Amino acid sequence: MNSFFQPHLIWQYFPDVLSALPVTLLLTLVSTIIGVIVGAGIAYVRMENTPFLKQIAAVFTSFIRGTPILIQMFLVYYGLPFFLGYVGIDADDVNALVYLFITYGLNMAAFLSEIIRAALESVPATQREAALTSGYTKRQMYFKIIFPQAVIIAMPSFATMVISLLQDTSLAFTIGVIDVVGKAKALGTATFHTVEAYISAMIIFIILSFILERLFRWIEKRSNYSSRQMPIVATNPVIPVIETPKTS
Amino acid sequence: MIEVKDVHKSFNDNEVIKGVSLSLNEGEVVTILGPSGSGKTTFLRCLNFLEEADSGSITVNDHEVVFGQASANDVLQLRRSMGMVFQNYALFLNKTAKQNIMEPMVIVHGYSTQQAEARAEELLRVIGLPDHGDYYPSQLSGGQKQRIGIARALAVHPTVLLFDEPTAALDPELVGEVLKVMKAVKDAGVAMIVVTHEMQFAYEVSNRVIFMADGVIVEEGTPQQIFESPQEARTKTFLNRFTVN
Repeated sequence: MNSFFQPHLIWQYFPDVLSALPVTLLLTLVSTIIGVIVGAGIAYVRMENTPFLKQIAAVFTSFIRGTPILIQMFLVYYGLPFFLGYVGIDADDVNALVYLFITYGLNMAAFLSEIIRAALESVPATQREAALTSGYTKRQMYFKIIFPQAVIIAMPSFATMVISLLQDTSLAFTIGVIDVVGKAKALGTATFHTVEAYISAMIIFIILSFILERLFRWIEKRSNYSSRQMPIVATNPVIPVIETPKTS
Repeated sequence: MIEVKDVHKSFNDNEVIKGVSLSLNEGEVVTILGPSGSGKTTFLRCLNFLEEADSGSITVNDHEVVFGQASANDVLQLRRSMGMVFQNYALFLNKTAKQNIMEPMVIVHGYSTQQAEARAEELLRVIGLPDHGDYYPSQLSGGQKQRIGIARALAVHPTVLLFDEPTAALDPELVGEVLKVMKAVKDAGVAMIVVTHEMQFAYEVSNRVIFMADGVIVEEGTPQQIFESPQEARTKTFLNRFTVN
């Protein structure tokens, strides 16, 4: 077994490592979705100052942001079945991935809740007033005016969180899930060419991150209405008299 | 057809509106003048529930809504018959000029998209911006935005339009084009309650002028009465700084 570094192995291992890509992607996608939904709930509770839930949300967020994600993962993976056992639920056959969805999902939720809250509060108050005085219901106001603007405001920070999550999923192998990093580790253990295997994995992450970054930037450009380059046309000083008949 | 009775409003222990009443007939223009802190803007914002008055009532088209006891539906119905034009235009930033005018028609008043579009384009012509329909507010000047704001409020045929210092944020060159549109609104027969510092406009366009200070109406009358022969000392002091042609 030759233990010198052999660059050609990087490309040789590539397809094998790549085969675990769906796991990494699935982890990132599901955790992001959970993060958005739960994060929005936390943001709502904190903004509406709901008495009991607001404190729970604050403690939860502090905890998540104040502990390493690895510890959160172990707590969920080893601790949750234990507690569920107390309530009589058997968690023996649950796929390890589910624990990761919970861990990463809640982790994302804590960070996203702040991004969501900040974005919602960045929408100018007069947007609310204009909508309400036009006769919009609260629901119409939120879905037509506030949320669309908040989403665009939140997009850059959201992009950062998602790409960061992608890198964080690399810890999944510690509970035995075979994602891209897990595959690389297994390969390295079997062949003793761990460096080449990890470089192979690293290349995949670099490409994925690049794609994600480009994707988000494209989304931002397409939906951003405050920096379009259309020229400001001179105002028309002559205004004809209104002859608007009152027809509906 | 618009009756506002005895509005009171306090912020904590500070009473800012101390019993203000106002009535308006169809097509009438009332201008409210007064120094900062007089409560005139707060009063205006109470009318469509942007601020919650403590007591009093407003009746529009025989439908009375009592402050402090209004249901959400009362407020909604009231707002649907009143439009508002804001000092900072408050155009929907995520919509184009034309969409800004169309949206309330479609979403609140049930116009079809074609009807709304036709009326929006007509209004854009009328305010002098026929080619600006697809521009976003970030691409428009203040005067243009305000004209669009007026068009948006006007599009749904409100019973009365409220103006909250509509030209206060505009530089002098742009004020004129907005005032022109406001005159045209009056000519179209829409009742208007205008809070403004534009004395010339108040003199030329109003049917009635109200002078407010310290939360009460100090004096009320025709523009000629208020500007040319004010009765109260407070009114005289305020108007001293303005000469009207």
